[in-house]
Amino acid sequence: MSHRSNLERVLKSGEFAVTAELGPPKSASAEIVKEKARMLEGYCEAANITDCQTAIVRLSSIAAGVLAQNEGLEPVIQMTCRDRNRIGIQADLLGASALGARNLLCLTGDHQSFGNHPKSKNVFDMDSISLLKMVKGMCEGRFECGEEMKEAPTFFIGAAENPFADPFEFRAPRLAMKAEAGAEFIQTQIIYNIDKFKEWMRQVRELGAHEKTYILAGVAPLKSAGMAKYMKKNVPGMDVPDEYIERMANAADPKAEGIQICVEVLEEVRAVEGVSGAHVMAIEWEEAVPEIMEKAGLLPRP
Amino acid sequence: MISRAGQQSRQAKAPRYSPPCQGGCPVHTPVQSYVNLVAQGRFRESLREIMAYNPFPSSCGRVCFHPCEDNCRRGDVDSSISIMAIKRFVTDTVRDSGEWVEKQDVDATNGKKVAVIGSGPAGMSAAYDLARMGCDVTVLEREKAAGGMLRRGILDFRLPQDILDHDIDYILSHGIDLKTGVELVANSEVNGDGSKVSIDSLTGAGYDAVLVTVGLSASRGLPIPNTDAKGVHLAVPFLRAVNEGELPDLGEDVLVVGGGNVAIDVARSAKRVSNGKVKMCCLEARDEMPAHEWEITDAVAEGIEMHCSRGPNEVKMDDTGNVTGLEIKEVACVFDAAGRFAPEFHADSEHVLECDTLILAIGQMSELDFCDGSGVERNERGQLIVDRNTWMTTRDGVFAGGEVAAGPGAAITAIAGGHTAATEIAKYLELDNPARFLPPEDQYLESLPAETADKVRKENRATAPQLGVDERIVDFSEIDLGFGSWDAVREAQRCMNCAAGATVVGEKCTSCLTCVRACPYDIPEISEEVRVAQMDPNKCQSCGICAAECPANAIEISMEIDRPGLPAFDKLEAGQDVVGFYCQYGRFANPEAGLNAKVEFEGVQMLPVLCTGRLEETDILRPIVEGAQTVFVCSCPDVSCHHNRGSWRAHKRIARAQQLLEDAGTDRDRVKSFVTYPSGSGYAPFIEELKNMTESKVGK
Amino acid sequence: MIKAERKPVSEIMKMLSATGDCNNVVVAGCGTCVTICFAGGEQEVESLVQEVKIADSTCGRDPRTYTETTPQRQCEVEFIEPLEDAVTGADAVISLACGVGVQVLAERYPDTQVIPGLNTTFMGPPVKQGEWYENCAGCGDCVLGWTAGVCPVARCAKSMMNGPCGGSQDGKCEVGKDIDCGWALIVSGLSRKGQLDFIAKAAKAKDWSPSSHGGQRKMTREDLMI
Repeated sequence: MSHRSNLERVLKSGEFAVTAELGPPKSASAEIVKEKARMLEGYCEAANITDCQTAIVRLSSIAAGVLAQNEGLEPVIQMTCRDRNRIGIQADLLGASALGARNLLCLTGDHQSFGNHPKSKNVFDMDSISLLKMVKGMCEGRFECGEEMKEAPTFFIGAAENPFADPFEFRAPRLAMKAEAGAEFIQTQIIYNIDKFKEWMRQVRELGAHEKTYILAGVAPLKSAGMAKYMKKNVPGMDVPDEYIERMANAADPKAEGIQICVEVLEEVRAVEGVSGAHVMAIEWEEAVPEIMEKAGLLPRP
Repeated sequence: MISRAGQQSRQAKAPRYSPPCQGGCPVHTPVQSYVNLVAQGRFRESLREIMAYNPFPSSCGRVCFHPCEDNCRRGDVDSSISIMAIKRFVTDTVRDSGEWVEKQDVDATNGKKVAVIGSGPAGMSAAYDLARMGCDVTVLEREKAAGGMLRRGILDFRLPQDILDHDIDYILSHGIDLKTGVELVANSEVNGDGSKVSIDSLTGAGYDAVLVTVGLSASRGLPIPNTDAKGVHLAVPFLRAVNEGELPDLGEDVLVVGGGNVAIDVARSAKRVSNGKVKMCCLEARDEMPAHEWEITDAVAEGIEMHCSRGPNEVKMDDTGNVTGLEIKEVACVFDAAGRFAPEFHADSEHVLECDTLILAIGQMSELDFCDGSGVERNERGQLIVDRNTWMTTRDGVFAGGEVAAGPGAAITAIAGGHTAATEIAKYLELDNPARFLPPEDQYLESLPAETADKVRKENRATAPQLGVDERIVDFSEIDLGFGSWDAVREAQRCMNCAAGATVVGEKCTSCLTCVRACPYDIPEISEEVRVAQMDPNKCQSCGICAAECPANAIEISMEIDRPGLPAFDKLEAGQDVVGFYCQYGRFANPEAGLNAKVEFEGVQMLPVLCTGRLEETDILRPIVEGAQTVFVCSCPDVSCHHNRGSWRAHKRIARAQQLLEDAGTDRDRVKSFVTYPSGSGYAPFIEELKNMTESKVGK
Repeated sequence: MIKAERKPVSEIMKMLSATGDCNNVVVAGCGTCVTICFAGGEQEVESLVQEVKIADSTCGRDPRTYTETTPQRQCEVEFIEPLEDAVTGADAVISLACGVGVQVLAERYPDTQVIPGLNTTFMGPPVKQGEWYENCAGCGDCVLGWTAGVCPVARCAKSMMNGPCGGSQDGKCEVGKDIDCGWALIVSGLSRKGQLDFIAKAAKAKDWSPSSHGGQRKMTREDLMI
């Protein structure tokens, strides 16, 4: 078997790979997951199923991933360190693998103070990098404690990196650390500041990290000028250039303009050496993904 | 129980110091204390405090050479406080009120009789002390009125006679018998009517001790030719004559010989009674003159010419025996290498300073003829032989004090001599607590280090107005006009309260550094050697902020409660349910506002505090705990806060107290904060609110 | 040192009421750590008594009697022994010590109701007068030598051993603009010393067993025992 998942297959084939994002509902509704899965199916290699993103309780990533898989959409299970210690994480990952999930994104996780249970106690027994190391070991048949297991889980392991966070000079080395720790692919934070992204990629290439891990550039369509401003102000490193904010503000159809900008960014980052794919994040706007893919000339998927 | 011994050894040493202004004063008058009472508008109390030590406050408030001011550490910051003018202000204000201060405490009579010969500052001070100790004191005075040189030697333009009377009357009110027109003479001269008495006649009359304070009552002459020329006068008789209105016939060109304070007084008096020119000549160079600099400056301002470094050689006179001038020689130097008086003159420098009147003011001496046959002996230079420890003469029970015993000096020095003599007499008479009026020798602070002086808010020295030169020289009207009350209060508020500052209770201090951080003057230190906070008493400005901030209550302010006051809330009086703390240097100290610390609002307990920055939250809340409805704090605006950051600290603590009230379930507005400008603004809204507060009580 | 802050008086009053008719109350400060952070020194004892009195009079309760005391440390039995008469005669003790002191007091005087007057917050220094921060979490396994003297456990909101996370911006933590990003400090500190290699290799998951996650921690030194 030359590949563990469709995503791995496309990346290894050298084709430009695309992942999307599926946000599970704040309810027990399987139907919503299925609907979103149907919407994305065929427009991407796989879709990330977020794990209580921004610390808001949602239907679990693994369960939603299985629901999506049943609809034909390959999931990327997300696992954060906020809510589970190494015992809970390993147990859930064994389960996910047993249920057929093959892509895994390892994250530290957003702090609970952002979410809807700010009074909760966090766990943070580990962080994204130690999680990667642990998962790599698990896939090789070892628990974190070193104990051997009879049947190892199977995952195409990924991680995220934010090229726009500080200290900037430590961001490319950190990507290399993640690759070293076991990340076979990296999805980046949403890119609007293309110059900075290019500079980061230059540093990544200097370290040779792009040859050790597949890098998927994060893009997202803006919905409105207000959203753009909000993100610029509140999301770390999300420096949306004024030019885009103006275009959104002046647009007759802001949504169409947002998609247009997203396509432009996608085309720009696609041309950057070392970028192997894109991660299209249409947050609570999954239906925008087909249009973006269409306009970017990325259809049909291989 | 844990031994605290280890703790004790950590305790910071806190030697007691006194402010140097007090140390500079020969009688150690508690300058800081009385100045602070003035700063609070408490004038009568201030005067009474002065008069416990100095029975001549009205006089010293005018003519003292004020060494207190020379030692005042405010001078290290900007310029010293006008202490003498403040003292004068207090005496004037209290006198003008029509009611002089009440008498000092007087012991029950002890049956001892003491005669004091001479009613100058030394004699009267000794009489005052001995009378207070219960002695039966009689003061004998040769002249018609008491006062000695203060009366005969100092003219009205510096010290009006009726002002001196006030001081003397107060002293006498302590049961002292004054007999004027009585002269001390040798036994052979004693007459039957009691106007001439001798040491023997006094002891024979039952006096247990005799104190001779006859001063330096005669002028010295000059050993040069022709001093007997017509128009040549001696200083003491001249001043006495002027004082008594028996004006000598002065010509139009007066020359005064001498460079001391008496010579200056003579010249300035001559300026007022002659129609012409007045000039002075002296051996010393201008900057060597023994007179006080300010006296010389005043004399020059009044048009008196100075001919310094000139030594008298011969009096010139015309055929009729009238003086025409003084031949003088130019002085090369006055003192030899060892500093001894040994004038040398330039050769062939003789020339004549013309004049038609010559007054010699080159020094004074005692008249000691009374010694003949009395057993009171003189030395080879004709001076009284006095034991410098006991101030007793060679005759048992006969003492001497003041200038006759100690040599020439200022009035305040004579007063100090009087205290000393009284103490020794009291010991001789075996009285209790004989040294009670003798100021103790304390340790005094050094000058204020520059790094601290830099941080003290600069405030200009106020000086009292004076008559213009043209108005002065026409008559003997007093030159100094004295402070207005607000000027005096503001000037007193410049006092930095040296040596009244913070001390650390070593066993409570946790070395938390709060004081180190909070001090506006960067004074507290925690050293490797003494691992608790220490405040250098030489630097501490006594603002009290550290004491209020200290979480361990380990800092004490050494000031007594009543002066530069600490908040002293004890309990509510009947009918009171509002308590107000106010900065005693602020609006409420302003006597011209028709309101001062004495004034209390109905239903309000007013508590002074020196800088509201001293108040802790607990100080602010204590009255509420004790039942007050409302507490208010009147602080000064930041721009006029004596301690720079005091008001600012106060506002923070008020806010904290309000928060604590709210937390305790009551109205935060029960603590109110006002800023009242010393000049008056901010006052009207405060009064309005105060009315509301007291009315709200009525409605309750 | 240990930092703490005063509980609101209302909470203390609630505990007092739950205890019964507390007419005789001891208010005990502590003369060390909590004095320094203005929570439990002699001054705060005085202040709390005043506040309770005001709260009582506001709701019309009869006055209680108070004993105010501030031993050097409440966390050592020897220092609280002298309080025996006052404490055993009291209906309740309000302890203005950290949680350590409150428990030593409660254990020493098991029949007396001991009410905590403070919330013990953290271990840390003052930044300046009136402001403190946490900088040690007492994890039992110090790594400061590898992290430029900045603790990743106490000073990273996620206690990451491989930071900084993607939320670090301009040296601040995503959790609050007033919180420094500990990992930004670590990176800059190590880079100043030329020691970035200390963190270049991925660290495996931290061993938390020496921290509070291993049950109540104890230390013994046989050689010191008397």
